[in-house]
Amino acid sequence: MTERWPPASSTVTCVPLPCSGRQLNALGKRLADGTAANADIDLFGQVAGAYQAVLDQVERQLRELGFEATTRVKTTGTLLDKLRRDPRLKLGAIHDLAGARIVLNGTLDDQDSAKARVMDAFASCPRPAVVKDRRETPSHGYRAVHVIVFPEKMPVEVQIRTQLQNGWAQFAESLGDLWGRGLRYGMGPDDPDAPAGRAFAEGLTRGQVVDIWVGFSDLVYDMERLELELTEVRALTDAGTPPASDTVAHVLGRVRECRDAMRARLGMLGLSTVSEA
Amino acid sequence: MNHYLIVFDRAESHVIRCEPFGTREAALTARFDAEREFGHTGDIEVVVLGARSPEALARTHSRYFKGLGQLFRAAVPTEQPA
Repeated sequence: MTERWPPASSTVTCVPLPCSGRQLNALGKRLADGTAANADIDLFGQVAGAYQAVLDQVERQLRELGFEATTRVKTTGTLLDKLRRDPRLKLGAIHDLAGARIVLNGTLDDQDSAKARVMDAFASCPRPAVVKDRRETPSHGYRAVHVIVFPEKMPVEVQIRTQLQNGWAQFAESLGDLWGRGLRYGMGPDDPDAPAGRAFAEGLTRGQVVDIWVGFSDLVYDMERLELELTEVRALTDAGTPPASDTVAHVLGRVRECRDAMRARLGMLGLSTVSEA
Repeated sequence: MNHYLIVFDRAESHVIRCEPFGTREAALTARFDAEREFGHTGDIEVVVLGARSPEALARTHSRYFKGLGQLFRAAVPTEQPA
Protein backbone atom coordinates (compact mmCIF):
# COMPACT_ATOMS: atom_id res chain seq x y z
CA MET A 1 0.00 0.00 0.00
CA THR A 2 1.26 3.46 -0.82
CA GLU A 3 2.25 5.59 2.15
CA ARG A 4 0.01 8.63 2.23
CA TRP A 5 0.67 12.21 3.28
CA PRO A 6 1.78 13.13 5.93
CA PRO A 7 4.84 10.88 6.06
CA ALA A 8 4.68 8.37 8.90
CA SER A 9 8.30 8.86 9.87
CA SER A 10 7.99 12.62 9.99
CA THR A 11 9.76 14.45 12.76
CA VAL A 12 9.80 17.68 10.80
CA THR A 13 7.24 20.27 11.73
CA CYS A 14 5.71 22.27 8.94
CA VAL A 15 5.83 26.00 9.34
CA PRO A 16 2.72 27.94 8.39
CA LEU A 17 3.04 30.76 5.90
CA PRO A 18 3.69 33.97 7.84
CA CYS A 19 1.04 35.92 5.94
CA SER A 20 -2.25 35.59 4.10
CA GLY A 21 -2.51 34.78 0.42
CA ARG A 22 -3.38 38.37 -0.36
CA GLN A 23 -0.34 39.63 1.58
CA LEU A 24 1.83 37.07 -0.18
CA ASN A 25 0.73 38.33 -3.58
CA ALA A 26 1.27 41.94 -2.56
CA LEU A 27 4.77 40.99 -1.40
CA GLY A 28 5.47 39.43 -4.80
CA LYS A 29 4.39 42.65 -6.51
CA ARG A 30 6.70 44.77 -4.36
CA LEU A 31 9.61 42.39 -4.92
CA ALA A 32 9.03 42.46 -8.67
CA ASP A 33 8.71 46.22 -9.07
CA GLY A 34 11.67 46.98 -6.80
CA THR A 35 9.71 48.73 -4.03
CA ALA A 36 10.34 46.06 -1.39
CA ALA A 37 11.40 47.44 1.99
CA ASN A 38 13.69 45.68 4.44
CA ALA A 39 10.62 44.28 6.20
CA ASP A 40 9.55 42.73 2.89
CA ILE A 41 12.90 41.04 2.49
CA ASP A 42 12.53 39.63 6.00
CA LEU A 43 9.01 38.47 5.19
CA PHE A 44 10.23 36.78 2.02
CA GLY A 45 12.83 34.99 4.12
CA GLN A 46 10.05 33.66 6.36
CA VAL A 47 8.04 32.60 3.31
CA ALA A 48 11.07 30.75 1.94
CA GLY A 49 11.46 29.09 5.35
CA ALA A 50 7.85 27.88 5.28
CA TYR A 51 8.28 26.46 1.79
CA GLN A 52 11.58 24.80 2.71
CA ALA A 53 9.89 23.22 5.75
CA VAL A 54 7.13 21.71 3.67
CA LEU A 55 9.73 20.60 1.12
CA ASP A 56 11.57 18.70 3.85
CA GLN A 57 8.31 16.89 4.58
CA VAL A 58 7.73 16.17 0.89
CA GLU A 59 11.24 14.75 0.57
CA ARG A 60 10.52 12.47 3.51
CA GLN A 61 7.30 11.31 1.91
CA LEU A 62 9.04 10.63 -1.39
CA ARG A 63 11.75 8.68 0.42
CA GLU A 64 9.09 6.51 2.02
CA LEU A 65 7.92 5.75 -1.51
CA GLY A 66 11.46 4.68 -2.38
CA PHE A 67 12.49 7.77 -4.33
CA GLU A 68 15.65 9.76 -3.70
CA ALA A 69 14.69 13.38 -4.20
CA THR A 70 16.52 16.63 -3.86
CA THR A 71 14.75 19.89 -3.12
CA ARG A 72 15.09 23.61 -3.59
CA VAL A 73 13.20 26.82 -2.99
CA LYS A 74 13.44 28.91 -6.14
CA THR A 75 16.32 31.33 -6.20
CA THR A 76 15.44 34.96 -5.65
CA GLY A 77 16.86 35.87 -9.05
CA THR A 78 14.77 33.40 -11.04
CA LEU A 79 11.69 34.22 -8.97
CA LEU A 80 12.03 37.92 -9.77
CA ASP A 81 12.64 37.09 -13.44
CA LYS A 82 9.43 35.07 -13.48
CA LEU A 83 7.33 37.74 -11.76
CA ARG A 84 8.70 40.42 -14.07
CA ARG A 85 8.13 38.40 -17.24
CA ASP A 86 4.44 38.19 -16.43
CA PRO A 87 3.22 41.07 -14.23
CA ARG A 88 -0.17 39.35 -13.84
CA LEU A 89 1.46 36.39 -12.13
CA LYS A 90 0.82 36.21 -8.39
CA LEU A 91 3.47 34.96 -5.98
CA GLY A 92 1.03 32.59 -4.30
CA ALA A 93 0.14 31.04 -7.65
CA ILE A 94 3.69 30.14 -8.63
CA HIS A 95 3.74 26.35 -8.61
CA ASP A 96 7.48 25.89 -8.73
CA LEU A 97 8.48 28.20 -5.89
CA ALA A 98 9.18 24.96 -4.03
CA GLY A 99 10.44 22.02 -6.04
CA ALA A 100 11.61 18.47 -5.56
CA ARG A 101 13.44 16.52 -8.26
CA ILE A 102 13.60 12.79 -8.83
CA VAL A 103 15.84 11.30 -11.53
CA LEU A 104 14.78 7.76 -12.32
CA ASN A 105 17.07 5.02 -13.42
CA GLY A 106 14.30 3.64 -15.58
CA THR A 107 12.03 3.86 -18.59
CA LEU A 108 9.07 5.98 -19.62
CA ASP A 109 6.84 3.30 -18.10
CA ASP A 110 8.70 3.66 -14.81
CA GLN A 111 8.11 7.39 -15.07
CA ASP A 112 4.36 6.80 -15.47
CA SER A 113 4.42 4.50 -12.47
CA ALA A 114 6.30 7.06 -10.38
CA LYS A 115 3.81 9.75 -11.37
CA ALA A 116 0.89 7.58 -10.25
CA ARG A 117 2.54 6.74 -6.94
CA VAL A 118 3.32 10.38 -6.17
CA MET A 119 -0.24 11.41 -6.99
CA ASP A 120 -1.61 8.66 -4.78
CA ALA A 121 0.69 9.54 -1.89
CA PHE A 122 -0.55 13.13 -1.87
CA ALA A 123 -4.19 12.34 -2.59
CA SER A 124 -5.26 13.36 0.91
CA CYS A 125 -3.95 16.92 0.51
CA PRO A 126 -6.43 19.83 0.51
CA ARG A 127 -6.18 20.15 -3.28
CA PRO A 128 -5.79 17.37 -5.83
CA ALA A 129 -2.45 17.00 -7.55
CA VAL A 130 -1.99 18.55 -10.99
CA VAL A 131 0.06 16.75 -13.62
CA LYS A 132 2.06 18.53 -16.29
CA ASP A 133 3.30 15.89 -18.68
CA ARG A 134 5.88 17.55 -20.91
CA ARG A 135 6.91 14.46 -22.85
CA GLU A 136 4.59 14.61 -25.87
CA THR A 137 4.55 18.39 -25.87
CA PRO A 138 7.95 19.52 -24.59
CA SER A 139 8.74 23.05 -23.52
CA HIS A 140 11.49 24.20 -25.90
CA GLY A 141 12.90 20.68 -25.88
CA TYR A 142 12.51 20.16 -22.13
CA ARG A 143 10.80 16.89 -21.30
CA ALA A 144 9.73 15.63 -17.88
CA VAL A 145 6.65 14.87 -15.85
CA HIS A 146 5.81 17.41 -13.18
CA VAL A 147 3.33 16.61 -10.43
CA ILE A 148 2.22 19.62 -8.44
CA VAL A 149 1.04 18.59 -4.99
CA PHE A 150 -0.49 20.78 -2.29
CA PRO A 151 0.61 19.70 1.20
CA GLU A 152 -0.27 22.29 3.85
CA LYS A 153 -2.06 24.19 1.02
CA MET A 154 1.32 25.14 -0.46
CA PRO A 155 2.14 24.09 -4.02
CA VAL A 156 5.19 21.90 -4.41
CA GLU A 157 6.35 20.86 -7.86
CA VAL A 158 7.71 17.30 -7.97
CA GLN A 159 9.80 16.93 -11.12
CA ILE A 160 10.11 13.35 -12.30
CA ARG A 161 12.74 12.87 -15.00
CA THR A 162 14.38 9.91 -16.62
CA GLN A 163 18.16 9.98 -16.69
CA LEU A 164 18.16 10.95 -20.35
CA GLN A 165 15.61 13.71 -19.85
CA ASN A 166 17.67 15.03 -16.96
CA GLY A 167 20.88 14.80 -18.98
CA TRP A 168 19.28 16.78 -21.80
CA ALA A 169 18.00 19.42 -19.35
CA GLN A 170 21.32 19.80 -17.52
CA PHE A 171 23.18 20.43 -20.77
CA ALA A 172 20.49 22.86 -21.95
CA GLU A 173 20.63 24.74 -18.65
CA SER A 174 24.39 24.90 -18.90
CA LEU A 175 24.05 26.51 -22.33
CA GLY A 176 21.61 28.93 -20.69
CA ASP A 177 24.20 29.77 -18.06
CA LEU A 178 26.64 30.69 -20.80
CA TRP A 179 24.33 32.31 -23.36
CA GLY A 180 21.43 33.73 -21.37
CA ARG A 181 18.70 32.21 -19.29
CA GLY A 182 16.08 33.25 -21.81
CA LEU A 183 16.94 29.91 -23.40
CA ARG A 184 14.79 28.23 -20.75
CA TYR A 185 11.80 30.17 -21.91
CA GLY A 186 12.22 29.78 -25.64
CA MET A 187 13.67 33.25 -26.16
CA GLY A 188 16.82 31.88 -27.73
CA PRO A 189 20.38 32.69 -26.75
CA ASP A 190 21.71 36.20 -26.25
CA ASP A 191 23.38 37.29 -29.50
CA PRO A 192 22.20 34.20 -31.45
CA ASP A 193 24.38 34.92 -34.47
CA ALA A 194 27.57 34.99 -32.40
CA PRO A 195 29.96 32.08 -32.89
CA ALA A 196 29.18 29.22 -30.52
CA GLY A 197 32.84 29.01 -29.62
CA ARG A 198 35.70 26.65 -30.11
CA ALA A 199 34.05 23.86 -28.14
CA PHE A 200 31.64 23.37 -31.04
CA ALA A 201 32.03 22.68 -34.73
CA GLU A 202 33.67 25.56 -36.58
CA GLY A 203 31.23 28.09 -37.99
CA LEU A 204 28.31 27.17 -35.75
CA THR A 205 26.40 30.00 -34.14
CA ARG A 206 24.82 29.92 -30.71
CA GLY A 207 21.37 29.89 -32.29
CA GLN A 208 22.27 26.90 -34.43
CA VAL A 209 23.62 24.97 -31.45
CA VAL A 210 20.42 25.59 -29.52
CA ASP A 211 18.25 24.52 -32.48
CA ILE A 212 20.26 21.32 -32.86
CA TRP A 213 19.98 20.54 -29.15
CA VAL A 214 16.23 21.16 -29.10
CA GLY A 215 15.89 18.81 -32.06
CA PHE A 216 18.04 16.24 -30.29
CA SER A 217 15.42 16.09 -27.52
CA ASP A 218 12.94 14.62 -30.03
CA LEU A 219 15.40 11.89 -30.95
CA VAL A 220 16.07 11.06 -27.31
CA TYR A 221 12.32 10.74 -26.78
CA ASP A 222 12.04 8.50 -29.85
CA MET A 223 14.80 6.31 -28.45
CA GLU A 224 13.13 6.09 -25.04
CA ARG A 225 9.89 4.96 -26.69
CA LEU A 226 11.74 2.44 -28.81
CA GLU A 227 13.34 1.10 -25.64
CA LEU A 228 9.83 0.25 -24.42
CA GLU A 229 9.17 -1.67 -27.62
CA LEU A 230 12.46 -3.51 -27.29
CA THR A 231 11.63 -4.38 -23.69
CA GLU A 232 8.35 -5.86 -24.85
CA VAL A 233 10.10 -7.87 -27.56
CA ARG A 234 12.58 -9.22 -25.00
CA ALA A 235 9.79 -10.08 -22.53
CA LEU A 236 7.83 -11.98 -25.17
CA THR A 237 10.96 -13.79 -26.25
CA ASP A 238 11.84 -14.69 -22.67
CA ALA A 239 8.29 -15.97 -22.16
CA GLY A 240 8.70 -18.33 -25.10
CA THR A 241 6.27 -16.42 -27.32
CA PRO A 242 8.56 -14.29 -29.46
CA PRO A 243 6.95 -11.83 -31.87
CA ALA A 244 7.10 -12.46 -35.62
CA SER A 245 10.57 -12.01 -37.04
CA ASP A 246 9.48 -9.17 -39.32
CA THR A 247 8.08 -7.32 -36.28
CA VAL A 248 11.42 -7.65 -34.49
CA ALA A 249 13.30 -6.59 -37.62
CA HIS A 250 11.04 -3.54 -37.94
CA VAL A 251 11.73 -2.42 -34.36
CA LEU A 252 15.46 -3.00 -34.70
CA GLY A 253 15.48 -1.08 -37.97
CA ARG A 254 13.83 1.90 -36.30
CA VAL A 255 16.37 1.73 -33.50
CA ARG A 256 19.19 1.86 -36.05
CA GLU A 257 17.54 4.77 -37.87
CA CYS A 258 17.17 6.66 -34.61
CA ARG A 259 20.78 6.05 -33.65
CA ASP A 260 21.94 7.19 -37.08
CA ALA A 261 19.87 10.37 -36.77
CA MET A 262 21.37 11.00 -33.33
CA ARG A 263 24.90 10.53 -34.61
CA ALA A 264 24.22 12.89 -37.51
CA ARG A 265 22.84 15.58 -35.23
CA LEU A 266 25.66 15.23 -32.72
CA GLY A 267 28.11 15.35 -35.59
CA MET A 268 26.68 18.74 -36.52
CA LEU A 269 27.56 19.99 -33.05
CA GLY A 270 31.09 18.67 -33.18
CA LEU A 271 30.92 18.09 -29.48
CA SER A 272 33.51 15.37 -29.47
CA THR A 273 35.94 18.25 -29.25
CA VAL A 274 34.30 19.83 -26.23
CA SER A 275 36.88 20.56 -23.61
CA GLU A 276 36.13 20.26 -19.93
CA ALA A 277 35.07 23.50 -18.34
CA MET B 1 18.82 15.49 5.23
CA ASN B 2 21.43 18.14 4.58
CA HIS B 3 20.88 21.54 3.09
CA TYR B 4 23.64 22.74 0.81
CA LEU B 5 24.28 26.37 0.05
CA ILE B 6 25.52 26.65 -3.52
CA VAL B 7 26.94 29.88 -4.92
CA PHE B 8 27.48 29.36 -8.62
CA ASP B 9 29.08 31.60 -11.22
CA ARG B 10 27.10 30.84 -14.37
CA ALA B 11 29.38 32.62 -16.79
CA GLU B 12 32.43 30.71 -15.54
CA SER B 13 30.56 27.43 -14.82
CA HIS B 14 32.23 27.50 -11.46
CA VAL B 15 30.99 26.71 -7.95
CA ILE B 16 32.22 29.51 -5.72
CA ARG B 17 30.82 27.97 -2.56
CA CYS B 18 29.27 24.63 -1.66
CA GLU B 19 28.59 24.36 2.04
CA PRO B 20 26.44 21.82 3.89
CA PHE B 21 24.22 22.83 6.78
CA GLY B 22 22.50 20.53 9.22
CA THR B 23 19.34 22.59 9.44
CA ARG B 24 17.24 24.39 6.87
CA GLU B 25 17.13 27.48 9.05
CA ALA B 26 20.91 27.83 9.07
CA ALA B 27 21.08 27.18 5.33
CA LEU B 28 18.43 29.77 4.52
CA THR B 29 20.15 32.33 6.72
CA ALA B 30 23.35 31.62 4.81
CA ARG B 31 21.45 31.92 1.50
CA PHE B 32 20.18 35.40 2.24
CA ASP B 33 23.59 36.42 3.61
CA ALA B 34 25.15 35.19 0.35
CA GLU B 35 22.56 37.08 -1.69
CA ARG B 36 23.56 40.24 0.11
CA GLU B 37 27.22 39.43 -0.52
CA PHE B 38 26.95 38.44 -4.20
CA GLY B 39 23.61 39.92 -5.27
CA HIS B 40 20.88 37.82 -6.78
CA THR B 41 20.94 39.04 -10.33
CA GLY B 42 23.46 38.69 -13.10
CA ASP B 43 25.79 35.76 -13.34
CA ILE B 44 25.85 34.67 -9.71
CA GLU B 45 23.25 32.12 -8.61
CA VAL B 46 22.61 31.54 -4.91
CA VAL B 47 20.52 28.53 -3.99
CA VAL B 48 19.92 26.10 -1.15
CA LEU B 49 19.46 22.48 -2.19
CA GLY B 50 18.19 19.77 0.13
CA ALA B 51 19.75 16.35 -0.36
CA ARG B 52 20.56 13.18 1.53
CA SER B 53 24.08 13.10 0.10
CA PRO B 54 26.44 15.00 -2.20
CA GLU B 55 25.98 12.14 -4.69
CA ALA B 56 22.24 12.78 -4.84
CA LEU B 57 22.94 16.43 -5.44
CA ALA B 58 25.38 15.67 -8.24
CA ARG B 59 22.83 13.37 -9.87
CA THR B 60 19.91 15.80 -9.98
CA HIS B 61 21.82 19.07 -10.37
CA SER B 62 24.90 18.04 -12.32
CA ARG B 63 25.25 21.35 -14.17
CA TYR B 64 26.75 22.86 -11.04
CA PHE B 65 29.46 20.25 -10.84
CA LYS B 66 30.33 19.14 -14.38
CA GLY B 67 31.80 20.78 -17.41
CA LEU B 68 30.00 21.04 -20.73
CA GLY B 69 31.74 17.96 -22.12
CA GLN B 70 30.81 15.78 -19.14
CA LEU B 71 27.23 17.00 -19.25
CA PHE B 72 27.09 16.22 -22.95
CA ARG B 73 28.34 12.68 -22.50
CA ALA B 74 25.77 12.09 -19.75
CA ALA B 75 23.02 13.37 -22.02
CA VAL B 76 23.73 11.07 -24.93
CA PRO B 77 22.27 7.54 -24.77
CA THR B 78 24.86 4.83 -24.55
CA GLU B 79 24.67 2.36 -27.39
CA GLN B 80 23.59 -1.09 -26.30
CA PRO B 81 23.22 -4.14 -28.47
CA ALA B 82 19.60 -4.49 -29.52
